[in-house]
Amino acid sequence: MIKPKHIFGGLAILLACILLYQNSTAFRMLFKGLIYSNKTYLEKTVLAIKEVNNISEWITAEYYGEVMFSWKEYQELAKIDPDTSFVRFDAINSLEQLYTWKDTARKSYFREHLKLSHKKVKFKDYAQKDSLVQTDLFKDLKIILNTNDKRTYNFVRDHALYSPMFNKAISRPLRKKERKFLGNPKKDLVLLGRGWIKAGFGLDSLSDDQFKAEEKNDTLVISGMPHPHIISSHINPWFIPKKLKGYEIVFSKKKFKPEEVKQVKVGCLRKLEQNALETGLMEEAWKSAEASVLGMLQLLGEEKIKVVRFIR
Amino acid sequence: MQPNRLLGIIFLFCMALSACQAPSLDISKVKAVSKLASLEVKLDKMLFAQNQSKVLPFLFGGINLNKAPFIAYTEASILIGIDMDKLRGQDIDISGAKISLTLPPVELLDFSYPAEKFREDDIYVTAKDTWSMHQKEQVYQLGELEIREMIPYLGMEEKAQENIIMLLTPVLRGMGFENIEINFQEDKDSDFLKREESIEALREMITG
Repeated sequence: MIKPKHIFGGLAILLACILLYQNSTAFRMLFKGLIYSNKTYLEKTVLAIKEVNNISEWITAEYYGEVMFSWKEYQELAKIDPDTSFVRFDAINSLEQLYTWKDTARKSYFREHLKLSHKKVKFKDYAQKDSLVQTDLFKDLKIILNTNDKRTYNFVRDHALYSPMFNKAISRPLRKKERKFLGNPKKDLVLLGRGWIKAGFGLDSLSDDQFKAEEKNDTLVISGMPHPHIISSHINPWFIPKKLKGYEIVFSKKKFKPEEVKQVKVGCLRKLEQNALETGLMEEAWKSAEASVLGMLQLLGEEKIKVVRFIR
Repeated sequence: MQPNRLLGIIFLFCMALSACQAPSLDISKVKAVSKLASLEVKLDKMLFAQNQSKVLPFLFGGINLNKAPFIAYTEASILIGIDMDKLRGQDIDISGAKISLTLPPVELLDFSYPAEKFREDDIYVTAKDTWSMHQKEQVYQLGELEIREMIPYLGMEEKAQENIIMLLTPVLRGMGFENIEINFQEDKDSDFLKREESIEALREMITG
């Protein structure tokens, strides 16, 4: 016969199991192994070399750290600076696709943003309708981009935000999308990002006449040094492969589109770069370069030089 | 067993299993380095992932629930060069106007797999909404590991070495050396250099 204490005991065990499942990774793994399993695996695909560039970059300082960024923070930034909004980012992204993949990408871009994939409609009919970027703009852009001139493309891309033609074309649908985009206050995503920022100098422009030894002061002066710049900044999926993740989802509420998640990730990276600069990455890059040259000279037997100084 | 005793055991079990915590960084840090990057390689990788769900997996392999594909186009960028901090006095031999340098082995200096270059496919795969953010993140993590495993087989070592020689030779000539000899150490423990095994291992990796 079932007594109240049995029911109470059963409920208590159920509650304990629920608490364990929510709070304990090990218990979740045990449950998943026995009752339910979910495995993600990659099919083998080729790794293609897209570009090989000869460079001469000298990395003299590295910064690693972790930051947090959220969807709400991104929205606040978007309100302050509409140029960072999701829609403009997307339009600029489509220009890059146009350059790389020409008409195939243009058609897929229209399909994506007009959400027509479920309807059988001819592309040319929709090209004339009101859309995110009007057909006339695309015609002009195509003429420019078909020159295969990377500098022209870069100019269009970098100045698109300030181009009256571009802004006029996207102004009405932009305002509509931004109103929709900035809504839904319950939606939030918080990401923790861990990454690296590496700074240094480009050595392309260095020549012999920039090196000058001041014998009186035992100093080597290298004039015309370029400013240190950020050579690489990244937050990868892994910070330490197989041990520490680069991105951790701290909190998420409501569904997010891939572009929205991307914006939060980019926000993490920008914040990490800012932290690196505030910590004095560029100053460290400068000092480290001077110390490295001095160390190298001493290894090569130049004991007369005691100080190395860079001059911009 | 009495319910109170059982509850007590479960409670202790709870505490023990909750003890595991993910590692985290305690500090951020700026550090001085001296690394010469002579080659930048940009790589394209298409990620084709499958998600296999099963119920009662211990029972004759389990009952398959669904199998949804996910495709994403990604780009990675690597910098290859040498770490000048590893250069020691015994690696440099100077006699008059002749210098003989044995530089540290070429290595992977930087690996970048930026999220802003990830592009999910929506032409070939229409059921991508079944993938959660966590699962997609897992796919990108697997993608990074796969790319890292394949980097040693790209065969970029010689090109990187040539570039470094071309970069350092004018500098040494400027210092008055007329006869310049530059060699590279071979680091047999390094994963980066797999010349001899490259073709066979690559074939095995692709066919599985």
